[in-house]
Amino acid sequence: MKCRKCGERALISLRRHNAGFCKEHFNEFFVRQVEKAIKKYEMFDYSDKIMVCISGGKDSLVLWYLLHKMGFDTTGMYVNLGIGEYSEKSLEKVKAFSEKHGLKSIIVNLTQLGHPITLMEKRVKRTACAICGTTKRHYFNKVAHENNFDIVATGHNLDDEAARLLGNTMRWYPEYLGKMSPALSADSQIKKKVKPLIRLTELEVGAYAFMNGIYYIADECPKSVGATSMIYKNALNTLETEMPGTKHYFYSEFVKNVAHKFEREETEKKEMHICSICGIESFLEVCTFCKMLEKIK
Amino acid sequence: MVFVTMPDGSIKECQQKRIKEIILELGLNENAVLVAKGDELLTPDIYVANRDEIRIISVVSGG
Ligand code: SF4
Ligand SMILES: [Zn+2]
Ligand SMILES: [Zn+2]
Repeated sequence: MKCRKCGERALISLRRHNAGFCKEHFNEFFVRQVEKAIKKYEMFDYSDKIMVCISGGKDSLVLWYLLHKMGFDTTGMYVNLGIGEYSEKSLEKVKAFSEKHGLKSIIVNLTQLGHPITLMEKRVKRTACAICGTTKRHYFNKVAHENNFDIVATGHNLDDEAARLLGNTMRWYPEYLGKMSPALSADSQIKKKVKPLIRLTELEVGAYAFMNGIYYIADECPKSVGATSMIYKNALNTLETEMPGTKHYFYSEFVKNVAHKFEREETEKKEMHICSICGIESFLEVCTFCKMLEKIK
Repeated sequence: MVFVTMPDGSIKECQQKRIKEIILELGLNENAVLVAKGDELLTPDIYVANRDEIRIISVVSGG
């Protein structure tokens, strides 16, 4: 297979675009997809201060690297979860990565703060992932708010979001279906949450990481075993093989034509409070995170 | 024979054939894995030579 642009040997085949690319032209394609997403969904511009949520996996590292390379003002925000060896390894990766590429970062260490996920899991009657999700959201919101970031960017790719859409559709969750847009003006404390990799598949992000020497933590979090998102991703990949372009079509047409039907009117929205303990916005007087922490003390 | 290193580090052997067919034979999906030889990626149409060592990289993450 040859590169569509230069005729050299292709290193990647993109069936949904009916094209193959060499490294140089794949990189060009990749950047163009990110530029298109930023522009189409009016995500941000060069005057914005962007916080990129980092997990140590390929998606967040690629996003952080690329936005910096494109000249945006980015800072990586990493929460070290305190989940054994997995967390230790990912912390090392993140530190080495930010040093190598001269990236700004903020690191929150749950073990140092006295409440690693493994401890919270013992005291709070919820699954590790539910606890982890609430905790990460709390710190992302807190750090973004306290440091005046305009934008919170996450590395979710097309596969992540198409799988989430499929899951929410299978169960007809109107609440969640109204929040599937790749650029959400979320809470008033945070101006906007964005997903700039939304036009790229997991395979494309993986290939970009590989070709550009971005060494991410390939190990999965041990708590992710049996995640239902994997079932949806596999199902979508089966469809994609038979009908290239399905994932993109499924997701982007939903956002374009259907999502607004699930969005709540301003008057229907639940009233927001400021948590009386941590000062971060919440639907409750005391936020779920602070309630969990009370059980640790 | 072609030697295939799987994402978990285990090594499998298979007959010489195209990458596309190797992916199928291993029960994988072409949208879920990259295949590399050394530091280069291989597209599904490539025919792998005898004694080649290739590596499967999983790109699907669960979280
Ligand atoms: S798999 Fe669960 S516990 Fe692990 S990082 Fe993801 S949300 Fe957190
Ligand atoms: Zn080319
Ligand atoms: Zn709180």
